[in-house]
Amino acid sequence: MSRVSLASAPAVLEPGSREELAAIVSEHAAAGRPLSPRGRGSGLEYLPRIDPESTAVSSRGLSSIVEYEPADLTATVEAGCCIRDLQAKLRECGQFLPADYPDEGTVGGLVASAGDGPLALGYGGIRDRLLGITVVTAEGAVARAGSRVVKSVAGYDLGKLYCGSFGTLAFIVEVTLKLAPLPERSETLHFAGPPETLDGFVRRALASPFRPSALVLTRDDSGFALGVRVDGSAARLDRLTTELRDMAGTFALGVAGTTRGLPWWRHAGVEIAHPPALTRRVVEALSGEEGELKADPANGRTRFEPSGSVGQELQDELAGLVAGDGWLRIRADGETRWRRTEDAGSAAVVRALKLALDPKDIFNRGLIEALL
Amino acid sequence: MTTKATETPSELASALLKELPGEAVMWSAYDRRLYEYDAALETARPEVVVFPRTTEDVQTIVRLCRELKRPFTARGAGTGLSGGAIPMEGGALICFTRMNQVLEIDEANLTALVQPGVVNLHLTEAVRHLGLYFSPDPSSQRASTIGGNVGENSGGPHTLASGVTTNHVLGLEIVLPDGDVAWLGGKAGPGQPIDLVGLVVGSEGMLGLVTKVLVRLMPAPEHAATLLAAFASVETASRSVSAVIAAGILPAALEMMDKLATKAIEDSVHAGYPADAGAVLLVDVEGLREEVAESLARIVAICQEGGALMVRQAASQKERNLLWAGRKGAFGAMGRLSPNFYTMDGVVPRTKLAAVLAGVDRISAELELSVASVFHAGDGNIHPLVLFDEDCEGDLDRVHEAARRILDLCIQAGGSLTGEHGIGVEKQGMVPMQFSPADLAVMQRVKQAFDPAGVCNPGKMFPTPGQCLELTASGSRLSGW
Repeated sequence: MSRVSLASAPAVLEPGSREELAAIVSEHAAAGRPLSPRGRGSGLEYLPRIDPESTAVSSRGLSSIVEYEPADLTATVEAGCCIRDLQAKLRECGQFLPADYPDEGTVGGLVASAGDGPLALGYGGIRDRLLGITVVTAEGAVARAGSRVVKSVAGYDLGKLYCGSFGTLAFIVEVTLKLAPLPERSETLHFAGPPETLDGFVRRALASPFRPSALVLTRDDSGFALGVRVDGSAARLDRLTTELRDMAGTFALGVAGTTRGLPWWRHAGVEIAHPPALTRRVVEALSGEEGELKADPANGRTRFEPSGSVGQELQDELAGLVAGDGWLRIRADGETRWRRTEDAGSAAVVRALKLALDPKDIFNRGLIEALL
Repeated sequence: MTTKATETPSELASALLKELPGEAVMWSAYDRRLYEYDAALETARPEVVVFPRTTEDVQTIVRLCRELKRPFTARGAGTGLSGGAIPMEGGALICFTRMNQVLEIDEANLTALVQPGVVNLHLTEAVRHLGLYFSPDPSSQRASTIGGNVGENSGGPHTLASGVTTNHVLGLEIVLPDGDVAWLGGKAGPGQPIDLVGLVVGSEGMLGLVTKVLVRLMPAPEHAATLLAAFASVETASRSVSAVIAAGILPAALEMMDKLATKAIEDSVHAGYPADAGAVLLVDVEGLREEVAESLARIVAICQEGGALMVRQAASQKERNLLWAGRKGAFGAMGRLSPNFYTMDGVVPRTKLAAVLAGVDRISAELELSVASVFHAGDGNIHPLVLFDEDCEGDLDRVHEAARRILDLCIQAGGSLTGEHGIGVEKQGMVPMQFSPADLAVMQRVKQAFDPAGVCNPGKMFPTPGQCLELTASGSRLSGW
């Protein structure tokens, strides 16, 4: 298939090469017709609805691991590569991509949504692991930025611009990522207690040399619990476990149990980005609501899947908490929207960038305004 | 000192003098000459040098420049090696050295809000009593400013484990080239609304003037140790570097110095390096006591298996400081070897270090130049220092030829033209070796979105048409990276 007829296009186009993808984008650009980039669609329901006229174009036909040199701790992979497949390949060589993203998702989806989670504490976020990127531009050109090496300041760092821009500026086709060695051991300690006490412990731990790899605060029927993941050698873990238990003891917190993995960091209907130290207040605001709550008190993210609907009053309270620094993404009544206090200066820049990179607004038409 | 009596300020200088205090505006020929250079080879004279103290001052400067259609260029401490702070088209040179206040230290969120003129090391000194530090440590950190670090996305020896400047910047206040102010990012993360922070960091001062920087602070490690290993050759040392990385060990720093550099440093600093070794590795390991001990033992074993002539752990903090004083004093020590030297900056995959460094030797032999190497081996970030004498006819031409060939080698190996110094004016002509016209067209559009009038640090990073042609004609452009 070298060209796709728009008239007879299937629901989701799956180009098998970047040239084919470029041709699809070119045709849409020429016709001024919108197009919606996606991977396997695992995160789509958490995004605002885009223009219903948009052609869905998936990267899943571009799924190969282009280059993997374990001794360099880097891999270049196509956007449609499934996270599960990539991790399996890396694990064979004792490495992994630390990114708490759903296994069934794609590398492109992870990057486009900057959808990483709590492991960013110990390993850096996906933006920090993104070394190079290849995209198809809104005119159907293939363009690169960054490099395949672990350090480069040549040219503008467009990878960071694309990372987290939800396919509004370009169609990501390939990324080069910095990997991490699999830790020799990994354990999660669970501490139970009231949220304000857990938060005190978290702030102390984060400012200490005994920083864990990830933190997740959860809530269930019996109350709040903090999962503290520690990675490393046996000697490191023994020491870290002792130090963290002792530190928790000074807050009268005891270890409720130990598991191998962290509580799963999955998408949720409500997501709040906030300064890390605001976690406690965000969690308190949600105290009267039924639903599954997870917070990352180190990176400042809270995810909440409500049992029912989230009332307007609570939405406003949450939006008020993050006014000026942070955002609220909420799905209510079948609609997802972002709420943040728009900074006129940065919004103007984003609009100018969108106009410069996608003048006909073909990539996820309308979505960029939702982000502002 | 000056000849102000017979000089008159330019129209722009006069306009600035009307709105800013006299001490904030320098316009005499003498003063302008003082600011025509940074640490790169190129020079260009500003029309006027301005020292803002506030964001509003910066906006005033931009407004007046716009009214008089003059360009403007930001400058920190002037330690940049690629000419980022050289006002290529004149206009106002905006020196941020007086905007040097730490505005806020937020212990709960582990951040600091600083003005761009704060010296890198001064920030760490300001938070040390809290057990915290600012991680990026360019070798110029005693002088270079956070604003300059942001402009160039500076690295340093200790960025191997903790990352470069961009990994530690959460937010920015920026005066845009049209004079408006924007807040990008924040304590909730740099991606608000999208990651403009990551775009602006490392954009070489071409997208606006950064007036506040929100940085991440890190807790100081419990323990740190330094290892010195001597090898017969750069090649054997490089193989041990690759082996350490491949074994999944991530030291805090992993630096290499070749024989010429080691000897010069030893003669100058007396750091305790074995002056007869072909290459020396300096390794820092940080963390908990237990893991430092483990990592050290593994690194020692790898070095010994790799044929190290000697491996020694610094016995005291004093010895650690001395070993690092040698590394950080390396550039100063080069004066012992040659009247001038040219600091190069390229990156290669860590598995290709040995091959590329052998190529550097071959090139320097062919061009009859001496090259000393002091570099961030763990990152694959090489810094060949090409020695020359500017009074010697033809020397500089051969230096430029060596630079071009060495960087071509880096690109051929799958690497990058610059790891931490930037493109600036220095490498404009070489950009097409790494980026295609399509790649550069996207970057041009980004530049135009921020700065449609082309007034913010013009004449940088993008190749001029002539340079582009020259390199394309020489066949340097690759199909790969």
